[in-house]
Parts: sequence; C-alpha cells; structure tokens
Amino acid sequence: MRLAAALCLLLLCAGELGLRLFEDRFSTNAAQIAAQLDALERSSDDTVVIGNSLSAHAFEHSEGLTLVTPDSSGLYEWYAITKHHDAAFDRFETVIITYAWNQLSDQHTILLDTIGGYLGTAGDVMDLGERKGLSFDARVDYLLGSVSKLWLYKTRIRRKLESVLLHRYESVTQSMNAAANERTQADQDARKRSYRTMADVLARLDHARITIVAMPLQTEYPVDPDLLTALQPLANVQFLDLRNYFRDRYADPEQFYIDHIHVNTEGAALLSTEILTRAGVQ
Amino acid sequence: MLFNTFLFFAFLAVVVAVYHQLRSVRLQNSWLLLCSYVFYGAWDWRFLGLILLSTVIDYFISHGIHRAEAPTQRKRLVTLSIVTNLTLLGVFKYYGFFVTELNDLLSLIGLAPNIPLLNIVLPVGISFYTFQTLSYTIDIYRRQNEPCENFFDFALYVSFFPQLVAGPIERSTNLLPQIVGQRTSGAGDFREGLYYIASGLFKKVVIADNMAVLVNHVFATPVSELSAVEIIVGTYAFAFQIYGDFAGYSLIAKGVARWLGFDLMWNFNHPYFSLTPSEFWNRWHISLSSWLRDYLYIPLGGNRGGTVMTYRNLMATMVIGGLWHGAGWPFVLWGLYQGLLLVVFRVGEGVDALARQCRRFVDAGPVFRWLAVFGFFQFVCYGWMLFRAESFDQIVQMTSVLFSSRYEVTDFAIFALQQILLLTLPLLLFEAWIERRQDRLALLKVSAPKLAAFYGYVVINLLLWVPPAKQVFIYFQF
Repeated sequence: MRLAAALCLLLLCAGELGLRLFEDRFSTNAAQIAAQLDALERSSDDTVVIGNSLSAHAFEHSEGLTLVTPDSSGLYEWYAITKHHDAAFDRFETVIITYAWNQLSDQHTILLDTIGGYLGTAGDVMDLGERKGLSFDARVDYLLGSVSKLWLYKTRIRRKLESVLLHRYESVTQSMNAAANERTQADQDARKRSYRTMADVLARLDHARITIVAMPLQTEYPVDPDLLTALQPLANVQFLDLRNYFRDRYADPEQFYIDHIHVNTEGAALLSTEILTRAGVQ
Repeated sequence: MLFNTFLFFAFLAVVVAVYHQLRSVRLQNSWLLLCSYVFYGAWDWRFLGLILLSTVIDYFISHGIHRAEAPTQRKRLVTLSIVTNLTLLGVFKYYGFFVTELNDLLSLIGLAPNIPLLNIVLPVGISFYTFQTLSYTIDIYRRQNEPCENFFDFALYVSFFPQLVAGPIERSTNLLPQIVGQRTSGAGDFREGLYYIASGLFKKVVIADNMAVLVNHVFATPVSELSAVEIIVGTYAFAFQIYGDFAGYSLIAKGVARWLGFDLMWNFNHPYFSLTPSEFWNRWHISLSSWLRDYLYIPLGGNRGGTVMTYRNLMATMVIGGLWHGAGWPFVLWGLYQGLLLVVFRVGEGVDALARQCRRFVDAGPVFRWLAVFGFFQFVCYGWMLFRAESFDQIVQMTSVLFSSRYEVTDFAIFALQQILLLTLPLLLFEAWIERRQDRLALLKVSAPKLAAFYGYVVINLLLWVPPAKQVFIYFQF
C-alpha cells in the first residue's frame, strides 16, 4: 500500500513538474495572459480594451490599443487585474470594457483557478469571498489553483484531451451550451442583479473616459435595466448597445461570425471601427 | 454537505481524528451522534426535529412491543409505529402530489376543489431513515431482534451520518450490534475504506456527473428535435449516471463507515451484468429490494398463493417501490414496468422450451452471455427512460420516436456515445474482472504496481474529469 501511495505521489509530482517546465508551450492561455499583462505594464498607448475572447477577436487587427482580454474572463478577473495593475491603468485616457450576458454583474461566475493562478494572490480569496460569499469548496479550489499547476490546468488539459478524443468536441459542446443558455435565459432574466464589483472597477478607472459595450452575438440576450441605472450617474461612462449591430444592418448576420459568439476578420473590422469611432478614439 | 465536496472531507477528517482518540465505545458513540446531527443539521436544522421525533417514537414503541405479552397489544403498537412513520413520510413526501392529483380529478368532474398545498420542503433522506426505523420495530414485533437499551445508541442507529441521507437502508440486526458492541479497527480498515471511497468518488464524480451533462441535454431538448439514436444514447448515459451516482454514494458511505470501524452492507453488485429482472433486483439497491421483499412482498403472500397472487404481489411491491422513489407518475409507471418485467420473465421461465433455448444461448460461450447481458440492459434502460422523463407526455413522445424511422446518427449522438464509452468502458472492464474473481476486494490483493496503476488512474481522472458544476446526489431527493 505504501509503495502504491509513493508511486501515485511520484506520478502527481511528475505531472506538476512537467507542467511547470513546459507551461508556456503547453497553454496558450498562460502565455496569452502573461504577454497581455506584460504589454499592459509597458504600454504607451492611450486606449486599453478590457474583455475576453469576444473583444480579442473584435480588436485582433486594430493598432494602437492595449488588449487585456484573457480567454473566458469576466468581471472578477477584470477586478483582479485592475486591482493588481492599478498604476498601469492610470496611463490610459480611454478604457473600453466589452461584455455580454451578465458578465458585469456581481452574480457572474468566477473562474477561481484562473484568478488564483495568474491574476491575483492567495490573499484575494478573502476579498472575493466577502463580495461573493464564496463557499468553503470555492476557497479551497482557489487556493489549490494558486499553488498547483496541475489543479490550475486541469480544465484545459481535459478540454485538450476531449478535443482529441471526441467527435466534433467544440461544435457539439458549443451547441449544447447554447441550448442550455437558452433554457436558463428566462430564469436569468427574472433574476435581480447587483453591480457593486463593477462600480469598484469603474472607480479605479475614474480618471479615464470609459465606454462599456454590450457585444453582438448570434443569439439574443437582454441588457439589465439595473446596469443602465448603475451607470447613469457616472459622467465619464458611456454605454454602447451593439447587441444587434449585425442583425440591424445586414440580411445575413451569420456571415460575420466564426461560431455562435466570435466575429471573423470581416466582422472584426466593422465592429472595431464602430466601437473606436463612438468611443472617440478614431 | 455533499460527499463530493472539500467541506465534507474536512468534516470527516475532524470526525475520524477525534473518534480514534476516544477510547470507550460510549464516548465514541456520543461523538458520532453529535457529528451525525451536525451533518444532518447542515442541510437544514429544522429537519433535526423530525429525525428526533421519529427516533423517540420508535425507541419507546419498540420497548412497548417487547414488554407486551398480548398479541393484540403488540399488533396495536407496531401498527402505531407504522402509521406514525408513514404519516410523516406521507405528509412530507406525498401530500403535495396527492392533493394536486385530487384537485385535478375533482375539477374534471365539474367540482371546484380548494384543497390547500402546504409547500413543505422534503427533508433529505426521509425515505431512508423511515424505512430503517420501520424495519427495526417490525423486527422486534416479529421477535427477530431485541430493542436497543440505550436511547443514544438507538439515536445513532437512526442517524449514523455515512448512510443517513441515501442509504444503504441498514437492518438493525447488522448495524445495531456494531454500535452497541466493542469495535476493533486495524490497518486493513484504512486500506479497505480508502478503496471504497476512491472507487465511490470515481463513480460519482467521473462517471455520474459527466453523464449528467449529456442526460440533461437530451431530456431538456424538445422530443421533436431528437432522433431515436440520441434518445437511446441519452438513456444509456442516464443508466450510468444513476448507477455511478447511487453506487458511488453507497461506496463512499461504506468507506467512511469502515474508517470508523463499522461494516455497512453492500448495496450494489454489478447490476448491469444481470440477465433477468429478478437478478437485476438482487444486484441493484440491494438494501431497498431486500427490504421490499421482507416487509412487503412476503407479508402480502409472496409466491405462496398461486400464480395470479404471485403476479399481483410482484406488481404491488414494484409499484410501491416506484412510489418510494418519488411522488410522480413517471415513478409509478417505472414501478409498473419493473413489475411487468418480473411477471413476463417469470411467465417465460415457466415455458420449458423457451427457457431451455435461452439457457442454451447464454451457455454457448462468453460472447453469447455478454450479448444476452447487453440485450437485457436494453430493458433496464427503457425503465430508466420512464424514471428520468420530465413528464408523462415526454415518455409517450420518446417511445413513439423509438418506434419510428427517425434513426439519424447525429454529431451529438456520436460525441455522447464516445464519451460514455471513454468513461464507462474501463469501469465495466474492471467490474467484469471483479465479477470473474468472485471477490469484491480482489484489487487489494494485487501487486503494488497494479494497485498504484489503479489509484493513479482514479486520481488522474478525479483531477481532470471533473465537470464544471458539482451535481447533487440523485437519491438525496428520495
């Protein structure tokens, strides 16, 4: 039994060591986040875009912008980034925050392993716990994510394995997620939301002109009236509702997407021009 | 406090650490009783009153039955226990269902009924501990057991936390002597417990929770958008979800109990290797099926009253078994279906020529035997479709699709089938190996590298194959 336990431990240690050695090669996400945070610290641009893969695709070919757009991130990841890179943000005159669904509300899901592993410190768990009322399990998840690469990368390793092993993994899971989102949409619409964490993020950026953009997707989603109420008193914040940007202008809006949510090069060119113009950057 | 959470394992660490510091059984039992009430109260402290009430009633009634000499008085007391327990169960679990159905029925015949709904939350595990206490008083009534002298020991028997919320439904003849008597624990207990817990977590987290994602998708999609292949694959996924979920829970419960020096009964014995419905029920949720046999089927007359009475008793037992799972027509229908399967197979076994043919087929070689197992698995799965369906309408629609020509093999069907095979095939191969060895602890007797390979596989899967959302155990709602 002891020998078996030692062999198992050895296996885990080898996995942990392997991930630490080849981290950059293994995960595009880790490299992407490190590169983006590095660029943020060194940036001499006037404009920063905060968001996730929605905006990464939209601004992929735009120049003169600093992108802080980690994949799958949302409010709490952006909160951690603005908290830990406070001084870097002071240099920007214009901040563009892009979002979809309920990504700006306190009720948005936290990807604890991402924050624990890349964006914050172990101490953040108390801070986030106060905001979200994190469960014991969520806190353990966060702490494990901040100390173990195996824990941090487990979802990504799984996705990688599934994409190799399972037939049309990405398209099938995306359509399953879309169906699930549609089913829970009514529930989500009825839910009361709050925006305290977003207010904290905006307070850190109060020196800049801020544009918040509701991004277009192939499926519809509502804009919470409480979000608009929360933004109304802020003189330096404008809200752009671009949810129907392609639907309102083109007969075949699907031509501008590569999947249900991400725009292609042609869509990106149109969308980024629209956003940058209305944000007063171009 | 779910078994598949860090919180539970933190709780367990404290329970086990303190427990093994206590030297007397009295102190250990007091500690376990306190922990069991904390565990149960963590779901909702208001449920504690209910379990305490059930404990007090059955403790005093059991002593009353034991003391009473007159058969009528003994009968009156056991009836009181049965009525009280079933009333509690009825009010909390079935009141809403029956009132809704009654209101609908009265409306149909032109009346305007206004029987109020109580909107009561179903206490976790009520069906399990109610059946456990019922078996205790009935055993004492039948003079098969003596009542427990110490109230706190009896309270621990009712509330023992590893098996409190989802079984196994332990008989007093097995668990009570372990509570009252001296318990010994050795190094082997830890190994055995760890094996149960690791296997249980694997079944719950890796198998059941991943299957749940596929199952939820299929059963939430309008049937008009599903092909028959998708329905079949979704139902296979549910077969493994419910097995992984419940067998996983039972194994974790057994492992936790083992670490505390207790030996809980086996609740599952590779049920999907069955060839007949009676074999299936000897392998699936054994503590419930044996309970139903001993306290319902046999008292109803069992197979003693001739063919027709046997069939009636089988049907009645299975319908009540179905209703035990939940207050809803799909459960009733599932029970009816299980009863019907038992009856049809019994009729088939009675036809000599047919029985001989079947036996010859199964005995022709392992391939034929596995084909027969796979064939019977289809019958089991149709039952699971009835069990999982959201409504009676969905059952009708899905059944009609199965008998239609809509057998398109979609991307989702291939994806789901691959995922089912990827996750369950290693488990089934492992279970087939255990089945062949006829020794459930065979793995603990293999060499260290093989044992390390097993634990390595389990740990890697528990690390990598955890779905984003933790799923509640299905049987908690029963």
